Amino acid sequence: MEKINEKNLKAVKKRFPDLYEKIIKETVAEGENTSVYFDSSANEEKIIAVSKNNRLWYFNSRYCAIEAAKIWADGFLDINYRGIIILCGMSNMMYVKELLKKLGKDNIVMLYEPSEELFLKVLEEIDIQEVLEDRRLFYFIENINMDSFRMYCKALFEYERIDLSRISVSPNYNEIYQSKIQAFITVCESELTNFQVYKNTYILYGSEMNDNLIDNIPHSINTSSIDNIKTEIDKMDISDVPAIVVAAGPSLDKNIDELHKANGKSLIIAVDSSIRALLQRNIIPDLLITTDPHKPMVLFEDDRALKIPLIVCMHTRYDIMVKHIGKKFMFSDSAYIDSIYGRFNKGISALQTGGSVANTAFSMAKFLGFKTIILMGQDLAFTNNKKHAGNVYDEKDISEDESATYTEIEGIDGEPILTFINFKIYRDWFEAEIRDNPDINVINATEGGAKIHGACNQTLNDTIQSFCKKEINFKKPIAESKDSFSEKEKSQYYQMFKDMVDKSKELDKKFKSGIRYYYKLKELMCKGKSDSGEFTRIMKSIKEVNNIGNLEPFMELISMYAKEEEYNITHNIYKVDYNATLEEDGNVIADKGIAMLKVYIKANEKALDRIEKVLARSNSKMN
Amino acid sequence: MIEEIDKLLEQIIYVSRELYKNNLNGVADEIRELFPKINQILLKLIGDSVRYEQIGIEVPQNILILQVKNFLEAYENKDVLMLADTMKYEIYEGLSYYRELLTNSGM
Repeated sequence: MEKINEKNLKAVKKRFPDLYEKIIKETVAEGENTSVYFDSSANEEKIIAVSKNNRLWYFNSRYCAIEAAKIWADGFLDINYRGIIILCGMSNMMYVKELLKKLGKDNIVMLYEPSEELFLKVLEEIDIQEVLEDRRLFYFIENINMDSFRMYCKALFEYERIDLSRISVSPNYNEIYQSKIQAFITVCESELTNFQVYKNTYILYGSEMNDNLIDNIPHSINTSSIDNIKTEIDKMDISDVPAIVVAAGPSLDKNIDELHKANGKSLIIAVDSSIRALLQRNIIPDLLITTDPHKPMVLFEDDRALKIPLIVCMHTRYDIMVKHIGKKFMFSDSAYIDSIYGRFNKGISALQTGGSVANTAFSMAKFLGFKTIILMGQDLAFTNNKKHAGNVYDEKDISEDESATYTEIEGIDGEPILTFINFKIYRDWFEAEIRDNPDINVINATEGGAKIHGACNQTLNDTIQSFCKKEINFKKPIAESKDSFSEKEKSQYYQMFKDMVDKSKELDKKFKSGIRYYYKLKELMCKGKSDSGEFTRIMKSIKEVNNIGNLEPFMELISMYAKEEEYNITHNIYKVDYNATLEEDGNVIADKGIAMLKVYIKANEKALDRIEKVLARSNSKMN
Repeated sequence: MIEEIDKLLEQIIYVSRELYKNNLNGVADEIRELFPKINQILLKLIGDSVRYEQIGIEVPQNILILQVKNFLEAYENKDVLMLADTMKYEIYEGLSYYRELLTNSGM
């Protein structure tokens, strides 16, 4: 007969092979003054307790654990059918089991267990195979796989589900693991805040981002990808070589000249805003990164900036893509570029972006495999009433008008310091990255600005002396990185671009059909024919139209032109009005569907218009 | 007294349910109100134990004292599960026992 541990591990392996690999390597770590014990309830159920400070704390009722778990799970009866529950504390999984019984197929439970020891012991002793295999459950265990939590947040959450979701703590867990749970909840709140940031970004800049994406298509044909840089760098020994991420905070002025000593002994990745300051001092970084759709062109007025190898994405400002004559390396930031690379059976990696280009630069250093990453110019706060270093832009001091966007955070000296709310988000992102990647040594050599918890603070001079010892040339392998596409593939790529015109017209027809189907649905509901065969067929057709978003990369282009309307229409789309009749509910959904498709028709026209202009421009250049 | 005990039993059921739902904050006021009343009643029972012995009823004083002690320990440590268990399975039983005594003995 299969042992409990084997059954449980099989279940983990089936769902999360990466987690399984990590678990089988684990030995139980020493807990922080805690030890895990099993006991029996009065009902002879296997229950779990933890000792802390000479006291035994039970995570189950000692009388009737199952009944207590059922009562606890009753607290979730009001959860929406699309709600997500973030639960801290697995105990013996009894609570999770009862919770899953109360939930529907579209609910998700993200389970966080702060005790690695508890998790491993439960795997040994209690048969939880059925729970582990439940596809609605995702589990994250301290010291084992917490680095994947933020990735799953991004994948599982949608903006519309945030209000429907809940963070909960299992009984007694807060008394034992308060600091870990608090830290975890802070991460959750930060991730959920990011959705609001993304929403605001897409509403404000979605159109502009999309314009850049379409405009950039002909240029993206001749780019390489970050994967090609990695291929070259993987051939080198960089185990004792650092990457330096140069941002453009006010403190850059203090120590930028030190960077000369690091040239040829590190990989220098500069954000676009820092390039003027660097070139003024004749410092040429190995890589420059620009991702914003509307970065001021003044940053690239020095011709030397136009030759530095450039990390870009499809939303990078078009004018920069045109003007820049050096090698360009793309990373994935859109379903569109993924689909293009996919058509050629190639992959293109994404970079985690925390909202600022410096976050993306950090991700690039991490992606390339650097184990020491040095931050400079990373103030993330106002230093001497400035947001950026001296000659980044010709910008004014911080004004009263901007004060609504300020907040206070801890400065590098421990004193409170003023910053933008957005900067705090970027700072939180760095801290989360440091937490999730304990194998990377992050040194904050900014010498000013906000404290980045988890990073070691050191002057740049001392950091360079400690870490920049080995001579190494990155410029050559970067220059030798291959293009992504062969000449034949480039022609095929361009043809795919031209084919987008037909694709747009095809989608236009589908959207219009969708509207007709919704009107037919309303008619059938009005006639009381909701259970007719015709109704079922119409519903199936509507489902196919709605599924276009999941199947068709072109939809991304359409959706980005319609972000504000999309958010407004889909807001509260999952909320159930218990007082409404089925017909009333159905009509509300149909009306939203019609509104959404009308918005998409307009957005599609805009996309088609832009595509045709870009094609005409590229054709005239080729002729 | 019987009415008072009935009211307490009802409150105990409600409070222990909320505690099992990990809602200590939501019932903190109720618990602060309940405890002195529970304590008073159980102390009265312990105090009357000599009279009950005279009519052949042995009041389990040690158990009652332990129940109150468990309650206090759970409350001081904010051990929500121990508090719920103690209220539902121990204090509730203690009070129900006293209620039965009062009903049957006519004292």
